[in-house]
Amino acid sequence: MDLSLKDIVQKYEDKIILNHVNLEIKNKSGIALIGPSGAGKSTLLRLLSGIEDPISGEICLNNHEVTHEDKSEYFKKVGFVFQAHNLFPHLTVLRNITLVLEKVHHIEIEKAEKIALDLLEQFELIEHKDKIPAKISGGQAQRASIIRSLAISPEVVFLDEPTSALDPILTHEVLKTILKLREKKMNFMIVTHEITFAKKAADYVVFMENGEVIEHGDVSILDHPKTDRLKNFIDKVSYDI
Amino acid sequence: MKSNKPLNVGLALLFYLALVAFIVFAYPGRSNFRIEAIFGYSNILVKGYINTIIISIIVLILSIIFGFVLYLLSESKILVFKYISNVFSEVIFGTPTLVFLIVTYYFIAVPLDLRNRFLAGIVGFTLFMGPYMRNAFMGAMKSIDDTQYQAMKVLGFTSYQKYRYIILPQLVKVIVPPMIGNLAIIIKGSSLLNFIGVEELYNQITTIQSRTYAVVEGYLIMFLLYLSITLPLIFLAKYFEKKVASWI
Repeated sequence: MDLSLKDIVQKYEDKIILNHVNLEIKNKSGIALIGPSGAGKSTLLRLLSGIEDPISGEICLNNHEVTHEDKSEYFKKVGFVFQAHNLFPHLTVLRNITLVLEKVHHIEIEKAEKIALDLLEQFELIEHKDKIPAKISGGQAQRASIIRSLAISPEVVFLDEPTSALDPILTHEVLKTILKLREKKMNFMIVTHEITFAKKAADYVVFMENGEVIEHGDVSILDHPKTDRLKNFIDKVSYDI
Repeated sequence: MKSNKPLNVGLALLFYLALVAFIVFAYPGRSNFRIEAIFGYSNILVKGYINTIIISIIVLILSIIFGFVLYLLSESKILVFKYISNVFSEVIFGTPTLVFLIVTYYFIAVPLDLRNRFLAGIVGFTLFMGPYMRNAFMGAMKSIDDTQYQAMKVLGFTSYQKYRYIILPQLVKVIVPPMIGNLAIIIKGSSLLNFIGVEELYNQITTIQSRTYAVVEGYLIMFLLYLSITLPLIFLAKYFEKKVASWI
């Protein structure tokens, strides 16, 4: 995917969240956004996905001018996975996936079910297809919402700390699912705290702090950081007790 | 005794039978207890019973509509609407049903020349129940959290699709138990319409009582007839609550 951010500013009330962010990335498929809490990573992801609009600045993703494009059309081309799974509680896992395909993307129900069942099979959730979200584990639900975002064959999938609400065992199963996106050459962008995972899953890393992009580059910058701030951050998060 | 359900149900039944037996034997006026005197006027009794059911259903429907309007006003971004709805609701919550029905009758129905007491009662009672319905809507809407709205947005659902496939199906299930609770309040409260002369169950039984002097018997019948309407509803509410609990 290609990505271009020009002078992005975002504020909540008077608090500056993103402070004149500029970024150009070309032809990368897995981008990891890392940085301490409050760095503005999730906000940046929400701007890129069109959920929020910036106060000022221009966002381009592939050939979409996100800031100007008709959002309802743009939403049909991207997927978004939230911190906690957002499956609709009254629908089964299968229906959660097919409803979007059928109603928003106007795919016939038989075809929609085939797409959903294929994905559930691939991601080893097929046995839970008829259960409602309350009857499966948090990890399974989060994997189901990843599948829901993949089912529409999006150009890019955005993942906003998809494991932050899960315990370590469930985190592992979700991260394995995301690694599959990599194998499938899917374009994705993930906000994560898991540095080891970022090294495996991403080919590009953007490090943010205090609403600014401090350093970005190929995934090797995690082993050889150029700035002290990234070096400090990596030291802190890889600190063993 | 901890887990044997039939045994416990049986014991509870036995307890209530013993209680009823005690009350009957302890009742000093049992020698001239004339319950059949009430049934002598069964046509009046049936009329009251049916009127109570009709009034309750009409008030239920109208107050759901009125309550939804109040809910929309309370959630409005235009503050004056919000204040109007909130003040009205607080006034209602702070007023006894009987007082409100009488006040609305003399200060709204009479000046408007609304002679039909049946209609006047329905209007007053609908106004009274509106805020309770508003609260039921508020509670139900809260059951759908913000993250679901975000998901609907980013998945690309239109407003119509959001309501049709995601919000309403969830709302219906959550709102049924409080609505049935409100219906029970309406049925019980409808007895107060007697005080503005509506010919409902309470009113009709008082008529029979004054003709037969079977006062105690009349109240006993009244007690049982009101229960015959409200108890099935309470069981219905419990059934729905169980259903809802299975997927929340």
